[in-house]
Order: sequence, then structure tokens, then C-alpha cells
Amino acid sequence: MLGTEPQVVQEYVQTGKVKLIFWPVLNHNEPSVYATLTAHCVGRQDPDKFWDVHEILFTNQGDLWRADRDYFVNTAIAAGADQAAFELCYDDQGALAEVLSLDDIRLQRGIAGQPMFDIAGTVYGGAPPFESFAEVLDASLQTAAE
Amino acid sequence: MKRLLVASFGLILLFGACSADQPLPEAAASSPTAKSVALDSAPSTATPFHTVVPLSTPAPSTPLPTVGPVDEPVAIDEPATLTPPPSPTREPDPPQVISGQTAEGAFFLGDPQAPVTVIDYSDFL
Repeated sequence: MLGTEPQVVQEYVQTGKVKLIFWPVLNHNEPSVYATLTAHCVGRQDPDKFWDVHEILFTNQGDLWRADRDYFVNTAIAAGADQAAFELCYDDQGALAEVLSLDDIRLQRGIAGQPMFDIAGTVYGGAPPFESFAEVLDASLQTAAE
Repeated sequence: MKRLLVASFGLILLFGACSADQPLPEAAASSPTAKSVALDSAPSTATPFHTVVPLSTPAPSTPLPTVGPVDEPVAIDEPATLTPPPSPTREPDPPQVISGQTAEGAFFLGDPQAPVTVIDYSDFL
């Protein structure tokens, strides 16, 4: 959701109107798994840096199909993560289990494709333009205020 | 004749004693209310000592403003109505935008108390 996400973050998240949760969907086997693991291990060191890596991975999405461990380690370092701590996490089965667990939960919720957006309990599919997002968000905010 | 001369001489002595300057009687003890005034002016303007100079008379009082008939309302300047100062408007608390993890381990961004939650189910690929 990199296309409209920056604007949604600026106008709705930073203003306190929306809490945004990124829920990983692992529909592309190991590249999906290790890209998500990279973001999670960086986020464990600093949750703010999760969103930095999130943006880096989506911006370089085309590289992820061929990415190896070194690529993800360099990505973590570029985001400001401690290399040793990251590698410890990246190689840890516990962190991998957590990522896989999140994927199981979304399947249990009936989330099959991506991207999918649960906005105040209603699930929307696709990647609509910002205006469509704003319309739904505004309606949800109004409902929440009543 | 001799007796007449002696009597006359006595009378003369008697009249002379009466006309002599009498010593001034002592001044009466000043009462708390009396105020003696020093006499330094000419005898013709001197105030006799036994006269108590009255206390300074009060200045004539300023005449009170006349008030119109009772049945006529007297215009009274209404005091300016005091309006309480506006209570300082309290700025709303700024949103607490933070990053963190949910109980399940997913990462979130925003105010945990935000009225709307959006879950972005996405794959990095």
C-alpha cells in the first residue's frame, strides 16, 4: 500500500484520527517470509524503524525476488539497526515463528489476497486512490463520533 | 483743727492705697478645654488673659447637593457591567502518535486511542 499510505499517514495517522496496523501476508513464499522477517527484526530493536524498513522494502519491491540474507542484512543496517542484534533475530526461529503466526491469523480471518484493508471492522479489497480511502475514513470517523 | 488734719491725712493715705497698682492675681489653672493665647500685641488688641480663646472654628461645611423631589428618579451612572474574563480555552491534547506492536506481534503506527483502526493486510512482494 505504498502508493496512498504516505498521504493516509500524514492526514489521518499523524493527526490522531487513525491507528494503522501492518499485518503481513506471506503469499509469495520465502521472499515474502524473509522480507517480513527483516522488517520485524528491525522493528524489535526500534518500532519506529519498522516503518523505515517498511518503506525501503516497498520502494525496492522489485529487488526482493532475488534478495538473499546479505541483502536483508544491508537493508537493516541502512535503516539504522544494529547488525549483530539483527542477525541474531534474523537467524532466530522464534522471530520466524511469530511472523508465520501472523500469517496464520490473517488466514483465519478470511484474508486471502492482498492488499486488503480492514477499516473499522469492514474489509475492503484492492488499492484504491487516496480520495476513496478518505471517503471511507471520514465516514468511519463520523460513525465513531456518534 | 488738729483732729481734722489727722483725719484728712488718714483719708489721703487710704485713697492712695486703693489706687495703687494691684498685683495681678495668679492666672487660673488652665482647664483642659481652655487655650491660652500669648499676648504680644498692643494692649488695645490684647485679649484679656481670662478669656478662653475658643478652639478653631470648623470651616463651613460644603453644602450638600440638593436632591430633587423624591418622586423623580435620580439618574445614577450605572457601573460598567463587569464581564468575566473569558476562560482560557484549553487546547486539545495533541495526538499521541507512537509505534509499537499489537498483542499478536503486528506493528502499528498512530495514537492507540485513535477512533478508527485500519489494518493493512499486505505482502512486501
